[in-house]
Amino acid sequence: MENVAEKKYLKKKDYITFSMARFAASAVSGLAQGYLLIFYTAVLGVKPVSVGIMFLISKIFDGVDDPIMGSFIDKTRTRWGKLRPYLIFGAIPFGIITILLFLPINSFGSELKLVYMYVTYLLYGFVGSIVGVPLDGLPAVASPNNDERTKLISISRVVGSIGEQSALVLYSLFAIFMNMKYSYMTMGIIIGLIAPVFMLMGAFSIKERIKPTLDTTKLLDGFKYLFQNKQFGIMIISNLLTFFRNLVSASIIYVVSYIYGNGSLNIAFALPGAVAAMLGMLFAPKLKKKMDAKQLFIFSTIFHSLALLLVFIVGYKVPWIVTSALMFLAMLPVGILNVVPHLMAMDTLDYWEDKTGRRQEGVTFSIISLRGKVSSALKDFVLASFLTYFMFSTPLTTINDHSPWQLEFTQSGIFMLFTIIPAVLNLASIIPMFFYKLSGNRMLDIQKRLQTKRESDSENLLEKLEENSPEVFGSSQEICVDSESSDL
Amino acid sequence: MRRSISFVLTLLLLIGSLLLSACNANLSEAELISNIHEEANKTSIKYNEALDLLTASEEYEYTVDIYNETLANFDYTNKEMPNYKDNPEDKKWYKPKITYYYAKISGSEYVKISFTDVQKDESNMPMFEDEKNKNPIFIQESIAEYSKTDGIFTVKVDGIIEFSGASDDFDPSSYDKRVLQLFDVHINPNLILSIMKKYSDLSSFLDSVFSTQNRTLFAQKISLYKTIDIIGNNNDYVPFSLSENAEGLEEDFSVDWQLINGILINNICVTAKRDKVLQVEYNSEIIHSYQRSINQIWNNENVVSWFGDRVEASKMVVEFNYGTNKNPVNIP
Repeated sequence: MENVAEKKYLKKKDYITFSMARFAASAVSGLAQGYLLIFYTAVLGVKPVSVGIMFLISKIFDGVDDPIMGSFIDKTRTRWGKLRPYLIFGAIPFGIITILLFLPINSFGSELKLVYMYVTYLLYGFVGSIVGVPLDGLPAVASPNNDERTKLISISRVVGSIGEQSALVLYSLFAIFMNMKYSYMTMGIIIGLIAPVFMLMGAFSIKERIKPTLDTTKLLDGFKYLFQNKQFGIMIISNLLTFFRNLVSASIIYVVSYIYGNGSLNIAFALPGAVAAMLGMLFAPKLKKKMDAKQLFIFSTIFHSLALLLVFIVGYKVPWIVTSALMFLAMLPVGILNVVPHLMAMDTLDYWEDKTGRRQEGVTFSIISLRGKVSSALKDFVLASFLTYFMFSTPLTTINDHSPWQLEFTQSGIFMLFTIIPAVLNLASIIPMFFYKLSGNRMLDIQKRLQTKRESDSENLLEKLEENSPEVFGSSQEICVDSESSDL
Repeated sequence: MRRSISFVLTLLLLIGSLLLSACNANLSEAELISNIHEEANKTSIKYNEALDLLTASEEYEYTVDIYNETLANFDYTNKEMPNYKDNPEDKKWYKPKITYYYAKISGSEYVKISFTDVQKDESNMPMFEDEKNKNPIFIQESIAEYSKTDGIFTVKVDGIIEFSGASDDFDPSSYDKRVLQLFDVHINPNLILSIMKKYSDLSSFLDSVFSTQNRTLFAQKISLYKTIDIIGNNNDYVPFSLSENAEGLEEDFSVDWQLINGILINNICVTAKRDKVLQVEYNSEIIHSYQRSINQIWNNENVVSWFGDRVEASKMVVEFNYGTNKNPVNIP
């Protein structure tokens, strides 16, 4: 019998359609993260402080709904699997919410605008979890073959990062012949219409080949799991601390506008960084073969910090192209660091399955999704605090396109936020890794035991099939031998 | 169950507190101005400490590249911008090169000013090397040197002595050389010290103070004043907090552009460490009001709207050298 762990389960079509689903999700998040703040403040005329409070409240809301969503997924048992139904039924509402987010409701009164903003944004967060958590979790159950899972994550993340830039491309195009209000609305409509189609294609194409256990989970298990599965908890703490590296991309607009005095250089800094990150993602599977996820994480973090240190030493009083080129180098490991948490998450799933016989993809990826949202909020908070400390001079809104003088102290501070501050603080994410045990031989042993178990389960399943037993869905951990058996 | 209820209640309490704090965040304008004045008093103490350090220093030098820009083709009479919204290159910025060097050893002082003007056309507009109006065509550099030793004031332009005698007898307006008219060096040769002294008496500009900040980083003490004055239609300057045409503060700050000529924004930042002033930064910008006729597509009517945009700006960053073995202070 062919080794379960080495057998190829995924076809080219699976990689393509799943990547399209990831593209769609990233296009929506790229649109919301990149343009929602400016849409609320510049088009709807809502005060930035009100938008900031709403973002903060939504993070608290996410903190509750994400783990609960994960527990719901882990309780789900359908013939389509436990993840895909959410993606299938959530895709169309997700597209509608995306369109609603960018409707220019200028005729509404200020209070009604706020209510509309809260309702649509909280719904966006909620429906985003309904489709986002299964999307993150699907690679972990799409194939028992570890290399295939790594490849699927890696490819889909690269395509996803292209999707993230789609709003930037659309805006550059629409801004030529439309004003801000209609540009955002059209972007919302286009992405809102395409996203469900791509998501459904991915959901219908990919199969859940690792079947869920029979154990049922309670709603609050999502919170408990974080503390029970210590290796997962350590991985989450470590990944939470990586939010400092997000300061690099978040500072780009400040660097180009206030150090190099040219906001249009944004694309010259953001694009090479995005390309470098994509290359990093593509290299991740190859590097994964040479080192385990923990080593890869530590190596990439140190590489990133050293490269940022180099940019800091070279300084900003050089032509912008030098800084941009050096940042390309610094961003290479970021692509790897984007993939590694998902690889580690799969290791923690295997570890938990080996230890308890339970496999909780829903909870795992809901907490990872929550980690991403908390990281984003922390990044905004830290960035705003540092800018205040460095005496950043905010533009006066009474003046058209006001670009106030920034002090040398502020410029140095912005450059530090772009380089040395994330370079040093990033290293904090390595500390929890000293307590992370899922590496090297230990992980190999776990995977061998699981492989043996899965082969044994597979043989049992074949025997049952031969005996025409209707009980094919009930063993503790099953591998779908015939991929068609889980088709819709 | 009890745990879940406590969790939900705590969460609701947290959200409620956040909303409540957001509602209470809006202080009245009088309270905000009072807070600014309180902070300005704290900054004044630190600022004047730094000023005392510089005044007491007997030996130091500095070189400043003075960045200065003026929108040459702004129509001040009709308050109209060049048609830069359609073509950004229509803006013609006049940007001469100016550097200022000052050295002091005990009672002797020396100043060297270099000025490189921009070539102008018959309409007195700056000329550029390229069509995008980016690189001005410069004409020959002119250098003025001033030295004051034992009470004798000597002025040289491009190496030739133009004046020698008591500084009070020197009248720069009697010379047609532009380099001599840039600064009143004979009254106060130390340009940066004279700018700093303007900000030493807080009471004289307190109503213009928009914000002040103080920081300490690696034993460096940084103090910043930011001020705004409203320029009335008679070009009179009124501190923003006393002006009838200015409303609100911070992000709510607004002016009625139709009723004023513009606003002047200044900021001065001093960095001191132990017994030395390390850096002084002085920035300034004038935002002028302008009108623009906008066609409303839906009713095909032209409506005049008023805005404000930068027409003048300058920036000076000064780093001091107090003399080291490698880099001593020298008076030529």
